[in-house]
This record gives sequence, structure tokens and C-alpha cells, in this order.
Amino acid sequence: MSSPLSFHNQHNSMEKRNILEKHLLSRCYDSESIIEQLLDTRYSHGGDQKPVIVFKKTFPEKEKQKSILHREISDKSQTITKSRKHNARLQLRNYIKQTTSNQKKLVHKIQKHNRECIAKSQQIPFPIEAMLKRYRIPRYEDFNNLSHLWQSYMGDLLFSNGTIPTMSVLLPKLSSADYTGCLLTVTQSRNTNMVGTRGIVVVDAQFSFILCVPRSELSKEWNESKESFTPSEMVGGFRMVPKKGTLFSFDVIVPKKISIEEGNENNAADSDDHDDECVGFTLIGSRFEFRAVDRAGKKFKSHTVDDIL
Amino acid sequence: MVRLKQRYILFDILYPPSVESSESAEFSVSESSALLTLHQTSPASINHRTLVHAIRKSIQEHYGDFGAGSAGLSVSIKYFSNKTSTGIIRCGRSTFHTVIGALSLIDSIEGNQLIIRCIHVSGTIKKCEEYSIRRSRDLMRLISKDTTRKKEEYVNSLDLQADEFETVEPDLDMD
Amino acid sequence: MLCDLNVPWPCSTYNTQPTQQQLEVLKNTIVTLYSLGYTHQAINFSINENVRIPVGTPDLINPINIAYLKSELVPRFPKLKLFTRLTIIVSDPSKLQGLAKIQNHFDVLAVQPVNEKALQLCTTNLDIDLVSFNLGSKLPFFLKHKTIGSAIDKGIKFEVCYSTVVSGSIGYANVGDSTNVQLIKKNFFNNVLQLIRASRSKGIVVSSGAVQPLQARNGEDILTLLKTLGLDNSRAKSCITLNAERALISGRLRIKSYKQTVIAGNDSDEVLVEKKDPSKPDTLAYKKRLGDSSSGRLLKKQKRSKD
Repeated sequence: MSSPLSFHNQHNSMEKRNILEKHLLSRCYDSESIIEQLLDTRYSHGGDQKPVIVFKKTFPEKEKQKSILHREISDKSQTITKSRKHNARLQLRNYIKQTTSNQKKLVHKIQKHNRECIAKSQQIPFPIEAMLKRYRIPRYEDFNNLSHLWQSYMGDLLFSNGTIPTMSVLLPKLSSADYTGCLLTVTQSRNTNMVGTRGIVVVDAQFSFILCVPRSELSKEWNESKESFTPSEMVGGFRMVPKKGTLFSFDVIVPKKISIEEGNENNAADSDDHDDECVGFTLIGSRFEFRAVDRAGKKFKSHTVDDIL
Repeated sequence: MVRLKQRYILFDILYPPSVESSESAEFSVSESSALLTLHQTSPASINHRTLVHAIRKSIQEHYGDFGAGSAGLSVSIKYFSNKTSTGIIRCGRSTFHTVIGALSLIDSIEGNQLIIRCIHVSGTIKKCEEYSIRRSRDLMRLISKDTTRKKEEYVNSLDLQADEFETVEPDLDMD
Repeated sequence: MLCDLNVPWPCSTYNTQPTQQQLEVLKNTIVTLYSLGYTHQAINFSINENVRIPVGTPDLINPINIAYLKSELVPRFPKLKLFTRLTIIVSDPSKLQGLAKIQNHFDVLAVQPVNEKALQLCTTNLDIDLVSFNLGSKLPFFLKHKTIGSAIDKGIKFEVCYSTVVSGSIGYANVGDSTNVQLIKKNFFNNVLQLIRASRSKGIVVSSGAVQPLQARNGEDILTLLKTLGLDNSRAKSCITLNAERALISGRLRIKSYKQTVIAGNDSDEVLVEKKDPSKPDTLAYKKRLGDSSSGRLLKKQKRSKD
């Protein structure tokens, strides 16, 4: 005949004791009744006093069978995804398109200005510098560093041994080299307007070179002593030169230590920084109509000479 | 009225130095000496008659009876000057290819070793003459870098040629 | 700018040197051709395949004394340009192993096949510019559209040499009587007809093969002669101008460039000009100072701005 109070006390103590177990069991089982039942079997004075509480086994996420070649990539930004490559190409194309259209607009502006000058018969100089900044036309001088990089790359590629090798060794290396950053001059072309254009290669595309040409005096070989220039020469910027039917020429500077070793009498006398030695080459554009990637492993064969010029 | 059309071939006779002659050493000395030797005056044995004979023989030899009949019989010499070794041949319009081919295959006339070279083909004699006068003027300019007696002879002969052209009768081709 | 690619060198082996008289005849021939308008001429050294080529001594591989000829003639005839050419008469393809070593010493390479196997070899494997035939005797094989067409697509040109027809009595002095002479002419016409038909008038080069100045002929006249044989009117002029020029260019590119991709040197306006100084070895000959060219000055300026 236990008093309702003592039973209540008993009950309370039981409840207080089992909060932790209830919490744990609620992870395994959803319903309260089962939890009560389990706790009864464990903690009751009567009934089967099992010495254990069985927690339901939780099944972890089944791991996918990974191949042995699988590498755990820790840093997401290292991978170059396909979409990123695609975006990069698109961005480059858009940039070039926009720059060329800006150049055209600027040229039109200059022509309009010239027409007005003639109409008013006065010579107002065109504010070229401000305009160039506004239209964000790329400057030739910005690519100087690229050109230097290319010259040192070429110096390493061609003159790595310390002596100047023969042509039969140099030429094959040149045919599979990359020309981004090279100062090219168009010497002959089926399109006579192109002849004389020179600039640093910005993009070595499959069918054309995109050059950044210098302004005014430096734009063409015969312009060095001229006073007045055409609008497009004043603007400079990018030029797209197709490779087909064109011959390009470039020079590779011979590194200082090699030319001195040659032992020429002339060199010993004037081996100062004022005049370097260089070796000149000509590229046949019609034979270079491959991407730089493809050109690396390509075996070249002789073809008909009909399409070279 | 449909006209029978002719072609007038302006040709030149060149005399390259043969192996034995004394001129061969001086031939390559300069441009003018080479040109003067090549364009020297023809010997008297070469005239209208022998030229036609040589051309007909060449056509017969290379193009056979067929060629001789179609082209050879209608060949005639309209003008030939020994001094300048230039001449004009008349032939039919459809057969002038044959005649020029046969001309180039001639290697000697009356024992003289020579090269015949066709310079101009035209439908009228007048245009041939004009072309020849222009050409001789150019030649004179080339040769005149070098002054020798030979050159003056040549210059005189060219003046004669200009006069002689005026005496050639226009051809009435109503054959 | 007419080209004549076959002015034969008087000797046909490595042992003999030409006499003074022969050299003089050669000079006269060159001058006569020049007066007829041929500014670019190639002197042809023709050998049998049996002749052993002295590969060991590079100086002797090219026996044509081109320096002497150039020094004599070019000052007096300013527009004249001389080149050297090698023709190998081939009947057995296996004897052509050493071609790679000698190809840098001659400006133009040519092969004269004698039988069908040799012709097929020329048009498929070899890296040559011209194929010529002995047009005086009947060709033992039949010329097919396929073989010749594929050769022309590759860039190989076929040569028609008109010295056999034009020779006259002097050229045939050692041949014999007149019936033999007639046979030679007949064979020439037949062979040329076959060649023009099989090549469809494309890729043909007309050259003189003139041993003495008498055998030179005006280019237009020879073309007219070939027109009577069926040569296409529109393609005729290119036989002496464009096609010959292209054969020369491909020969020059073989020496000066790597498989026609990059050419050594960038001074000259045309590929055909021999700018290289023969006294200096190879690459050194193309070396120059930066200040010499306008682009070089640009590079120099860049360098200075960097430092």
C-alpha cells in the first residue's frame, strides 16, 4: 500500500534518471511508447530487467565505389572546367571585337575632324591622347614586356648550347615554336594593303595573327621620317592579319655571351649595349595555318608552291 | 560583205655567234655588242625568194602535205630588209599558228645559221610597221650606251627602214 | 620575267672539266637566251645514276663553276640571274639513296626516269622539282592521267625540252642520216602530245636544252608550236613564266627553309635572290646588326626602354 506520493516520487526519480537515455533513444526510434517500453525493460523493478539498451543501428550514407585513379581534389579553384575555358575564349573574342570597333569609331572621328578642318581652313590638332584613353585603345608599349619574354624564350630555345647552331638545327625548332609576343613585320602579301604592317603578336590564332601595332612614326618601316600620318596610323591598336598568302619576318636577338664567344674581331671592339646582333627569319604564313597546339607535334611535308604568295 | 582576213607576221632574223667564228670571244662582252652581233645585216643570199622557199620547205617537213597545202601555199613575203634583218610575212588567219611554228623550226637558210623569231602578229601591215618602228627605237636606246662604228651603221640602216616602209603597198585582199 | 631551266653544262661526269672553248660557247648561249628575254636561267648538270657523287667533299658536289659565270656575266647583263640544277637519269629506283645529302647543293633538282617503275617512284616518294623525259626516243611507257595528275598536285612540274627538234644539221651531226633525224622529230611530237594530254596542259615547263647559241628560240614561238599540238591557249603562257618560276622557288625553299615553313634570313625581297655570303658558314651568314633594319631599331628602342 504505497502512498500515491511515494509512487509519484518514485516516478519522478525514474523520469529524472532517464532523460539522457530518452534523448539518445529518440534518435533511434520515433514513437514515445516504444521508448517507454524499452526503458521499462531496462530499469523496472519487475519484469525482465535486461542489462542493456539496444540502440537501433544507424546506416551511414553508402559510399560510392571510387576508381583507384580518383584523386581527392582539395581546392575547387585549381580545376579548369570546360565552362571556364569556353568563357575565357568568349571573353577574348569579345575584347578583340570591341577594341577593333572602338578603333574604327576613333578613326571615323579623326576623319570627321579633318573634314571640318578643311571646311574651316584652319589646323586644329586632334586631341589624340585623350581620345585614346577614352576609347581604351591598347598601346603598343604595354606589350613590351611580352616581347622581352618572347625574346628570352627564343634565346633559350635556339641558343641553349652556348654556340650558334647551324640553320638545319634552328629551323625545325622554329617551325614548332609559339609566336605570341613576337615582333612580326609583313614583308610580302597577296593583299598589298597589309605590306609593311608590323607589331607584337597578341593572339596566335589558327588562320590569322592579331598584332598590336605601334603608332605614328613607328607604324611602318618607311614612316620613320614622315611628319603627317593617316588616321589609322595615328590610332594604332589591334590589327588582324590573315596568315594565308603572306610572308612575315622577325628577328631573334643573339644573347650577349654567345656572340662574344664567336671571337669575331669586330665584336671585341664594339661589344657595348648599343648594337646587338640578331638573326633574321621569314615565316611562310600559308604553311602555318594550324593552332600552336597542333603545330607542336606536326610533321611538315613539302607541298606545291602555288599558294605561298 | 565577208572579207577574207589575213594575218601579217613581223619577224626578225638573229645571227648567234657560231663556234668557229672570231666574233664569239667578243660576243659576251657587253649588252650592246651582243645585240649588235645578233641583229647584224643579212647576207645578200637571203632575199624574198629564198625566204619563201625555206618557209615552205619547213612547213612541208614538219606539217606534211596537209600543212603544205593549207598553210604553205598562201604564204608570201610582203617586206624584207637585209640591213635590219626584219620582214613581214602574209598568211591566212586560220593557219598563222602553223606558219609561226614552222618559222621557229628553221635553223639555216642557204648555208647561213640563223634563228628566226616572230615579234608581232597583226591584221594589217600598218600596225606591224608602227610596232617595228617603236621596237627599233627601243633597241637603239639600248645599244647607244656603247659608241662604235657598228652602231652608227645600224642607226643609219634604221632610218632607211622607216623610209622603206612607206613604199610598201597596202594589200588588197580580195583574193 | 621568263625562265629557262635547262642550259646544259658541257661535261657529264665529275672527272672532266670543260675546256675554255666550251665555257665560251656556254657563255654565248646564256647571252643569246638573255637577249631573247630569259632573265632567270638554270645551268643543268646531267648525270647517270651510276656516277658516284663525292658526298664526302661537299665543295666538289656541285661542279658547275657558277661563281666564275656570275662574275663574268652579271656585271654586264644586270637583270640576269643564274642558278644550278642537277638531273639524274634513273632506271633503278634503289640507287637513289644519297639524294638527301646532295639536295642542298643544287638550286633545282630533276629526275629523268627511263622506265615506268622509276616514274612512279619520282611522283610518289622523292622530294624533287622537275621530271623530264628524253623526248627524242619513243617513251617505253604510257603516260597516265593519274600518275601525272598526282605529281602536279604535289608540286612537281614536267619539262619539255625543245632542243631535239630545233637542232638542225649541227645537232644531228653525230646521229646519222636524215631518216633518223625525221624519226627523232616524229618521236618528239608524239611524246609531247602525250604529255600535254595526260597533264591537261597544267604543270608543264618549257626549256631550251640549248648546247650552243643556235638552238635558242623565242619562247612565244615554241609555245605557238605546242599550241598546234594541243596545248591549251589559256595555260600556255604560264609554261615559261609561272610554272618555271614555281619550280625554281620550290627548289630554293628546299635549301633555305625547313619544309617550306620557316625561311632563313629576312633581308631580301624575293626568295630567289642569293643573299647569303658564301664565305661564312651557315647561320653566321644571316647574322646582322639590330640597327640595320627598321624593325631592328624598334627592338633596340624597346630594349633600351626596358633597361
